[in-house]
Amino acid sequence: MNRFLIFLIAGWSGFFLMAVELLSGRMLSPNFGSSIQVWGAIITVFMLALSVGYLLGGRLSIKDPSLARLAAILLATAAATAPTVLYGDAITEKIFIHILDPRYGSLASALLLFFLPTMIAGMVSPYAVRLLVSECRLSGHYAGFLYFVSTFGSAAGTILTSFYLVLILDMNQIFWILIGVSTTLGLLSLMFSQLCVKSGDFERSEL
Amino acid sequence: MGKSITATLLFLCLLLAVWSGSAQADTFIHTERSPYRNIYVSEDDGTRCIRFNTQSNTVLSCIELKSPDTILFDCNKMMMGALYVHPNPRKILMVGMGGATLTTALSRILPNAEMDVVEIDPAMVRVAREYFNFHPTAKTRISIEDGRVFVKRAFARGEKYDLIVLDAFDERYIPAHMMTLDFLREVRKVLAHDGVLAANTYRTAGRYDSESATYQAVFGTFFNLKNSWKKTRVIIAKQGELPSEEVLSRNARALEPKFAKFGVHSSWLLPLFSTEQDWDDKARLFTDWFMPY
Repeated sequence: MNRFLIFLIAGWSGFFLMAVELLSGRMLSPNFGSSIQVWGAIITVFMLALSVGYLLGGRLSIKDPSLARLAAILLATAAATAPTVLYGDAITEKIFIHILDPRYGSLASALLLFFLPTMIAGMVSPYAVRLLVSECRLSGHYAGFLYFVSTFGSAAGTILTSFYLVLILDMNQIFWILIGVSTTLGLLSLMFSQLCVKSGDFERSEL
Repeated sequence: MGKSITATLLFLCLLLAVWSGSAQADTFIHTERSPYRNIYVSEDDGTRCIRFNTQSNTVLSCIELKSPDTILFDCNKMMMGALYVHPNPRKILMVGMGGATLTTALSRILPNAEMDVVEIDPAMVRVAREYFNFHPTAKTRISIEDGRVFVKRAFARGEKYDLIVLDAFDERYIPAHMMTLDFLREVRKVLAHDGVLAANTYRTAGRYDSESATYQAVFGTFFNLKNSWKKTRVIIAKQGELPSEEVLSRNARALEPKFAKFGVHSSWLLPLFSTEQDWDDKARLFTDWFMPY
């Protein structure tokens, strides 16, 4: 069950990231347009945030790794995305007024709105690898399978959001659904890890 | 059995001949690879066109080499109809320029009007200059920028335009962020108190109702110009009340000599002016938060 939850969190995190990245383009276009430079700014910020997230996730996994902490990372991702939805328009409007060049305006907006949630989401994969690996011999196997699940989640998040969700829901609704699922999955994982600790399963599960 | 095989082979040969004929009909004289799209300039039987694709028959803009002033596309002729509503705009904004046929026509008809032309793709401007007789005058300013960003900045600068032409397209349709209620409200803010808007759109199934309802929500009743057999539709909306038929006819008569030079005649254009509503006004509006395309 622990392993299932870890893979589920990694897969969902991939889904979440790509859905948010797609929506970020729509969120910035009213003030900065949809030029290649705006997409360049968005992709730069997401890649930068992920690289920092991978670094931090790896560092965090050194000391007392646990499912509870992985769940906390997922909850933090959801919490960091909420201000983006609540204040996104106001922030991009302010940046539009103060930064005249749409390239730097979109870069600043993407940094402010998406860097933190993306960075936290980026911590999931390296942290999850640490939880899964119990012996060196199998580390490549688990890492490979985790990247498969996470990237498969990203693909699903991309196609579902762009092909279907935007047809029936508005952007706010999609954001809140993403935040809601992350919160629910995070809380469920947290509760499960607490149950395991109480029943003593936690130690036996090598987590 | 033998006859049916022969008939099938003949049919296939005919198909191949038709296909190869159509593929060879156009000569591509220039290709431009921009960051946004590939732009192809083709020539066929004295007509030069811009395409985004070598295989499809869809063309973005065309001119006749022998009479480059003649406007060939119905949508451009219909957008000229905006001058029937406001015959003497002093300041014009054009969002999207294509082959610049409309830009050229407007600058010739209104030589004293100041014109801001906004085009996101610098390659389109190069192609228009080199292959489509686009020679901007001192009164024409070209901005390489996203149309929506330009409109927002124009509002911040306090600019007002007597005529705004929305004609921005990518390889699919109008860019999503330039079809929304929020964008049209921004456009309305930079429209002078008696200003007029002309928007080039298409009667595409599934989009027509929402698109029309969105324009209606911002501008109220508008002239809905459609040609009967194509999918072309041009929206002409006004800040304030629309003019009466009498005013339209009077302006059309006054402009007839100038329009005739470009192949636009009031006998064709004037009957297209209609305020009849043929869409579902309860259709969901396009907004920045809901745009299913």
